[in-house]
Amino acid sequence: MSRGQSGRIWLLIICIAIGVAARVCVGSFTGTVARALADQARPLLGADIEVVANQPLTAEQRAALSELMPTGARTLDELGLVTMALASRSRHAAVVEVLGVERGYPLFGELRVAVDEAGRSPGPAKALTAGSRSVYVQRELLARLAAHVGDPLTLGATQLTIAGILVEDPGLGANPFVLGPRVLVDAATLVSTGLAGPGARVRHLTMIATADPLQGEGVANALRTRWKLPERSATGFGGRVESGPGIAIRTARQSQESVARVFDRLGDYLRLVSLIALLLGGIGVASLVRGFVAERLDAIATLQVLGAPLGRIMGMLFIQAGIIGLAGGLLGGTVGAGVENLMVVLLQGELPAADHHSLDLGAFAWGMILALSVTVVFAALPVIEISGMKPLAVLRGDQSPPRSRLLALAWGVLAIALFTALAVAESHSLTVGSMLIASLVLGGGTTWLVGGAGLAALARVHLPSFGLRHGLANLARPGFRPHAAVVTISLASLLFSTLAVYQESLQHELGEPYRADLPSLFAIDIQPDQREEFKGFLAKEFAMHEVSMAPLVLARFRGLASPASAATAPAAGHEGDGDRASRDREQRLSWREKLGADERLVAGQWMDDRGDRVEASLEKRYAERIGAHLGDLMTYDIQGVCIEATVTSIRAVRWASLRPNFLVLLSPHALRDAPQTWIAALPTLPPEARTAVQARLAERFPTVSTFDVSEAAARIGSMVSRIALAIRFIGLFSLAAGVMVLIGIALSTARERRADAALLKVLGAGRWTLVLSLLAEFGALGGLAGILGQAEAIPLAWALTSRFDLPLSIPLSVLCALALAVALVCAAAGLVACIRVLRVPPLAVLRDG
Amino acid sequence: MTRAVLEVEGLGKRYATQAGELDVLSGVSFRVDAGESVAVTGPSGSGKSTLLGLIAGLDSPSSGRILVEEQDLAGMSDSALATFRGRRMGFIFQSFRLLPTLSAEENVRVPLELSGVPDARQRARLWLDQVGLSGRGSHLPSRLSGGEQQRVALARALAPRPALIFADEPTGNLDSRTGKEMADLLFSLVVDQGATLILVTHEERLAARAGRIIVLRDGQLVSDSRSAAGVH
Repeated sequence: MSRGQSGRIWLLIICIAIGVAARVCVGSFTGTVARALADQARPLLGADIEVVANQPLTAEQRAALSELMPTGARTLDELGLVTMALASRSRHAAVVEVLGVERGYPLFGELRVAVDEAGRSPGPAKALTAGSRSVYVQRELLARLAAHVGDPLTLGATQLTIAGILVEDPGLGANPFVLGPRVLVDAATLVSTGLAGPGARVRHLTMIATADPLQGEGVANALRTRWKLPERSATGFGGRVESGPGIAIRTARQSQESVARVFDRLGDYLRLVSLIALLLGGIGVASLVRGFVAERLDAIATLQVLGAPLGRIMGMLFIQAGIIGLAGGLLGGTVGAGVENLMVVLLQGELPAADHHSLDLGAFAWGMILALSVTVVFAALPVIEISGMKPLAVLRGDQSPPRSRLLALAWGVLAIALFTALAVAESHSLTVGSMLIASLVLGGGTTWLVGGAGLAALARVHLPSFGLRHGLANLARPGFRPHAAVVTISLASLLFSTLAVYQESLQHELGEPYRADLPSLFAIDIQPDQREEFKGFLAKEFAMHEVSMAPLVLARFRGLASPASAATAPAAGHEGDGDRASRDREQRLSWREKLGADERLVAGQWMDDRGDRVEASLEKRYAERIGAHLGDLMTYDIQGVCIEATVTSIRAVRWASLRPNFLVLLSPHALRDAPQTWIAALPTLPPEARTAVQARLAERFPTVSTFDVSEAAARIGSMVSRIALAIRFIGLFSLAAGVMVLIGIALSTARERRADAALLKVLGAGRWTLVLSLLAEFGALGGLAGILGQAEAIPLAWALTSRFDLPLSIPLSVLCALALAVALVCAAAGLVACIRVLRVPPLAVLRDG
Repeated sequence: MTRAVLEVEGLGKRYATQAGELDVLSGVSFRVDAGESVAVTGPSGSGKSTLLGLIAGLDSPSSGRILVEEQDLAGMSDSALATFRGRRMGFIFQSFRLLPTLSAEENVRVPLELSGVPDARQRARLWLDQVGLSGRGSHLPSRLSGGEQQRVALARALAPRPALIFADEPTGNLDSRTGKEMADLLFSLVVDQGATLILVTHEERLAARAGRIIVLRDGQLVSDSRSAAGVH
């Protein structure tokens, strides 16, 4: 029965292949990255074990370390800190992460530097010594400081020389979230800058290399047991340890896992996007098979009359669907692997690269399984429908012979269940997976209904041009069911438009043109006795009189208790999981007289500082995370002094404003005398003035670090853009699947279209009239799908932006452009699908009777 | 002398088949004057539809010449032919050939609009009245009976006031009573319009209503005679 159907069979194969290609591409790519990270676990951390401490290890701790160290192990001490670097020549300053190392660095791998500023021809680095007063820097720092190799670089009050660019530096990639480019310096030289003195936020690192990598985990566990450390510790600003006694132990495997987790999370989302492409392809399969079955009802009925049982005929159709699914899987897998190879080549240098890049057979096999199951499940929908059909009803030409709608509905539910299971498996989350499928079913159903009404309305539009009017009227062509195309294309465009709205909202919040009232620079680590001097300096040197400053008090969170459960001890009230995780963690507290510009009260009342009672105001999400409510008691330890504060208000904070805001605010009288540092937000400045202010502050206050807010905003924007680009790339597969559905539906009415075209030619229509008709029909269909996709994107983006407390900003022009682009793509696809219609000779009108 | 609307000289059509070349039509010549009604008849495979396709400019001949209103169809481009057909020719088909997505009135308007006639809507309504379908203009073809559909097709063929009407088995899909009514309407309106009718049919009774009958057999014109209707 599939003879003479090669075009349609290819279309079925492509429908499936697109989703599989996306899935195999994502699966292989994440697999490649994971393998690369596993290969490079030791060089990634630069050691088998890293002991990081906020204070130098005590003699007792050193003794324990020596005792537990296996034979043949090597150790190396390092110092790390975040500070300002000033390029003396260009007078530019930037925040950097300085690592002071000893002779013998690195323990694993090789340090390679280049003197060529493009980073070409790197060679083994000359050892850094105290006498050389040289530093190696990451290339991006040179761009930020407008500096060159050989230029002087000031750290603290010490002038050093940039001796080369770091091309390979083991340990550099272990922390994906860094505050600035790395500056590698000899440890003694770093100490001589004075930046690592008492009170400075320094990380003391002890790197350990064992003879056998398998020994690393055992030694780390033994050390943790000895020092009563958790397996994972919380780290904060500049990698400082924020939990427990201020010591953390990390192994090469953990470091590899934490980096891999970032890719895994992105991979989860990309796998879901590829699943959407596969789902849309499945809808295409159902739609094409429905057309195929409808055209062959006579043949099926005839076979039944001749004695073939319907079950056998349906079995044949299932086998054909299975073969097509396997072919789709094979094609998709091959294309996906090819695209992944191309990506690995294109992204060389940006991502960890595997030594041996080969075909990911696991991803390929999973793609085949998906292809087979999705094809059979979706092809079965229209096939099952005919199971209740009587051959006589078909042969006597009944318009609507009875079908097994209930059975088909049950099968549809099964298909949804299958996809929900797949989505849960792909996202590793029951909530995310089931929410995705529920949203798609809800969105698809709504689009089906609204789209159907839209198509009917469009078909009745009376345009003056015959070609356009005929094209629109064709949307109501008997036997033409473009609903599936509208649904699939609108779902695909929904993906793009949601990203556009989200990015616009983020841009609106972070982008410079919109931030006239927001700060340009943050300065941190201002000591209380430097406050007035700092303010005076800015007023005198830069005429900045409106510098807002906020205090930071470092405290340890000791517990949460609810007075309602009076029988329980304060620290063990209704403590939640989040609270347990937060216990003993360092936290930055602050105080302010009144609510900030980015805050609003969502519960309780703003604190009254007149009495003795200490009040706490918590950020909404933080309160939810730790399970705190109004009236609860929170206990903090500030350098040995315990403070109990009653939660009297909950605040919603717009974090994306990038102004100084805090999770916990306490009554001012409780913190005023506590050890504190200050953070300053400097008003809006043009970029060149920012550079000058940073440089002058670095000179005048070497221990104060200044961050360019727009740089941070740009970094966030760039990160979101990269993620959005990856999602868009995989989203293109969804759009392609949607277009395939459209082509399939167009082809299902090819015979009628050819007859119409021949007739129109006979009646005097030229080629342009026919082209116009096709463009109007498919353009309108695409436009409708695009508009529905954009309309649905707004509530979706609203939900997304609300999650991150971003005000919704709708880029109308972008959404209109997207809808137009979808309309154009559909018009072009429809024209290509029906190109043969244009070539039909008018004589055909006579041949067909 | 009466003006010739159609002149066919030595017309031939040859197709290449796997078994070799096949002459479907050869050496056919005749002339049709304005206002004549001519029935082309003959057994199946005699070349009737091929002849219709060629003289309507739907296909190009392998040999010979066709002049419609003194214009040689061979010298026209596809688009010029389409325009010419839209303005000077009307077509009626056995299976009605209405556009399924357009209403009856819109179907009648198609050739008028394609020819750029300004008052297409009014003329379409007028012609629907003429064929007895006033009030059915907004109906889609699927909601009309076979006879009604063929009336719409007749209105569509006559609306642009063509010089030549081609009717290919116009009653073939209708029952005998509706077929007769349709034939009555066709001949009366063609006469009223002063148009020329080329009617392809294998029904002797219908052919006999034309003024002249051309008989084809094996691709050759074997008879060209005045019918009783023509004689009277």
